[in-house]
Amino acid sequence: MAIAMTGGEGEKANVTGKDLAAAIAPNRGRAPVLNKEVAVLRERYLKDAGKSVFQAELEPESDKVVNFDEMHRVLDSEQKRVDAEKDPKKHDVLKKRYDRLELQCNIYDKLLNNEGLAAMDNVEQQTVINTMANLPGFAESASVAIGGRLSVDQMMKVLNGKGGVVMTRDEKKALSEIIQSMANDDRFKNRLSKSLSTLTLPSEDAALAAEISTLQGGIRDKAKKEDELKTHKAIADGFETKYPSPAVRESVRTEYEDYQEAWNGLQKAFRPLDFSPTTIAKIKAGLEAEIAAAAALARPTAHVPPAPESVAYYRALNEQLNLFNQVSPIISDAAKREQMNEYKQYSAAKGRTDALSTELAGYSDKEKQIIQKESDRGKYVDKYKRKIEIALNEEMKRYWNEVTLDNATKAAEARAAIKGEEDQGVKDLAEKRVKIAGDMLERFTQLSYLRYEGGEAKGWDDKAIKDFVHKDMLSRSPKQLSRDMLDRIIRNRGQLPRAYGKEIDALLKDMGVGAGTPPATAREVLNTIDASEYQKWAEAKIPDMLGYAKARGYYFDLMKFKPGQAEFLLRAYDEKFFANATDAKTKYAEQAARLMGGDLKEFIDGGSLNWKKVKEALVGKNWPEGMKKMMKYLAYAGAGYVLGGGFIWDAGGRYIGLDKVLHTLSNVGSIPPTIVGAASRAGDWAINAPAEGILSGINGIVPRIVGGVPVGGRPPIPPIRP
Amino acid sequence: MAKLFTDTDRKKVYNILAKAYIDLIEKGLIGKFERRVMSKKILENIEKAQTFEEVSTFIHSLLHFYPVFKNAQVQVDAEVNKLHEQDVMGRLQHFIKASV
Repeated sequence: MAIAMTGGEGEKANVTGKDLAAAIAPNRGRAPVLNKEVAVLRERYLKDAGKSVFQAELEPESDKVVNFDEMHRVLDSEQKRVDAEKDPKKHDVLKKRYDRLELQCNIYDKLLNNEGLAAMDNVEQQTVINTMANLPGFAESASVAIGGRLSVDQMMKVLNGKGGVVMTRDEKKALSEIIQSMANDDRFKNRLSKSLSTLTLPSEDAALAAEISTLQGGIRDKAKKEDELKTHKAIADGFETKYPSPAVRESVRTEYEDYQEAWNGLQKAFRPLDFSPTTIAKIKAGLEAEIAAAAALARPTAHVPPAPESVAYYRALNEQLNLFNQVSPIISDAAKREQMNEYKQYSAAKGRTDALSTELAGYSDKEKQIIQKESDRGKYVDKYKRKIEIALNEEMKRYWNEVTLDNATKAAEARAAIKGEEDQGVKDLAEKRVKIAGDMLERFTQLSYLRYEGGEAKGWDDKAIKDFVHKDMLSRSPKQLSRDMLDRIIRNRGQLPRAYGKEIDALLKDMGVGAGTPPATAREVLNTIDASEYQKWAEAKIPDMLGYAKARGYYFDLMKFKPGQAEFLLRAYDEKFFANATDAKTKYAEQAARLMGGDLKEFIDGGSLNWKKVKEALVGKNWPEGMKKMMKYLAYAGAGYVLGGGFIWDAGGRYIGLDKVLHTLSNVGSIPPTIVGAASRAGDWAINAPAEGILSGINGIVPRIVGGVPVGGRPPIPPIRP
Repeated sequence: MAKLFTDTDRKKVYNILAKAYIDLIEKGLIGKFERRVMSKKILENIEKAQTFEEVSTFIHSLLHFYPVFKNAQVQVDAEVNKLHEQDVMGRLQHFIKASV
């Protein structure tokens, strides 16, 4: 399955799960690389020599420094926003957002400050693993890397922590190693560092943050004031409810103010510890006594006016008494006292309510300012927060694309190259097998039909030859026959002269017999050869065999076919077979047709048989005879080839190379000279007879030639009829 | 007479030192800050070295704290010795020629 890349560009090799598995667990089964930093330096040393190692150490790392302090400041300000939000729904939303942000910051902190995955809590680890699980192809490759037992779905469940999948201890260990290795890979961490190091807030943000903080400080006690306002409003509302009529309230007010004035006057004059009714009564009694005494002094006597101070004193006392008279009814009346008290509270509450309302209105303004400033700040901070939220995901994907997929692609390319070589090897072997099998048939077929004793040829396996003609031709398809011939060669190779046997053994070995685990048998090797090859060989070898058999006296064309047998032949040997067989023996096709006596002359076009015409002629006719004629043609074509094999006929059908061949053979000693002489005088008929004679000579039979026709021995091949 | 320190010699020395340096890191015998300091020192000293003797003196100073540079010292000293031998041979030959 080809894995899609995330955000990659251009064509890549067809990467499968196996390749990804190799990329994410390259060290599976190998000793771990102890120090990746050392590996990087060594690589640099090998690539750029020693000086570059030291230069690398001095390269600035400023592009990888992550400002965690700023990250925490942003977090803190988010926390304040959450705390400041009173609306429960909005509070929940902000809280969730804050929690996500805090989670990401903790992950980065632990990953990049060398604590690693192991230092994270379960939620943090699961977040990292979920990120990996979402990489395309990760689940599949992890499954393959840990052994291939789990399906992709099962692996996803494991990675997402959903459970319900049983894993062996080894599988868990292997998966844990893969996850740890990826999370702690320096290349991933470097990418993450570089990405987060670009995170920075502008100075405007700091200024806004300070202003917001100040404003927030100013409205810190808003809740308290609101509560206070509520309380005072309750008091005021309570009084107004009790005295709904504004006129009544006004009257109470007036009375209170008078009372209060009088009361304040008394407070000033007497500064009593308390103004209980008893005290008041006491003071009043004393006052009345004083008034009585002062009255005497303030009264004029016998034309003597009273002293001004006495009169003033008397008046003051009376004023005080009036004050008492004003407050006494209220003081002595509990309900009145209560009313005055209520009004006092009401008045205070009203005043406070107004003040608080004004203050709180100011708070609303501040809140609006805070919102505005937060909105302005949001331009910078929202980008910052977004980057924190997505950095892990983005950098993991980049790492996956650029490192893991790249490694997997290389693995896939290497695998394809190896496969290509293997495929080519397989193709080469297939071609080799076909060639060797064809050669074996060409060279050893006839040899395999000879009879041997002690590695010496003693004669022919006539039974096998006869069976070929009388049985096999009528029961086996052309492909089966050619296969049978190959099997016969291999089966009988032990009987052949040792050199031939060894040669066949070597050829079989070349074909791959005995190779592999378990060792391939000859049968298995031959089974790999395509059926079309066997058909081709049949087209070449069956005519040979028929000719060979004919030379041994087994005339396929003289056999009587039953209709069923003819039907079989008709089906097994279609016109294509004959056409191909003819082509294979082109040299002798014309000769064979003439040898047959020209019965099929009308079907010959330009020296070749027109098979269409042949078949058309056979339909509705006696087709057993038709098939016999066709097979007869084959037999003659084969005979011409087998017996010819270097023999050449001229256009008139006369053998023109016989003398040379006979001479050669006589030198070899296989043909008695008398036969040679007899053959050369035989004329047209001698074209065939000497061939017969040669074979008979080999067999030890020397036919007598009477009237141009040999007696005894095998029947001759009929002469050519013009 | 000290032979001049060529660029090829410099490269050779860097390679020798780099091998020892990587060995040092692998064994965990040097901290991150120290690495930067040492790398800077090595680059400065080797860049300005004019002879093998100067290089040898510098490596000797490193050897004091980091025995891992022993091999580097041996290799550089071997070069120094080779030059001394050539120098001695040269003088002998000169002496022989002069006396003949």
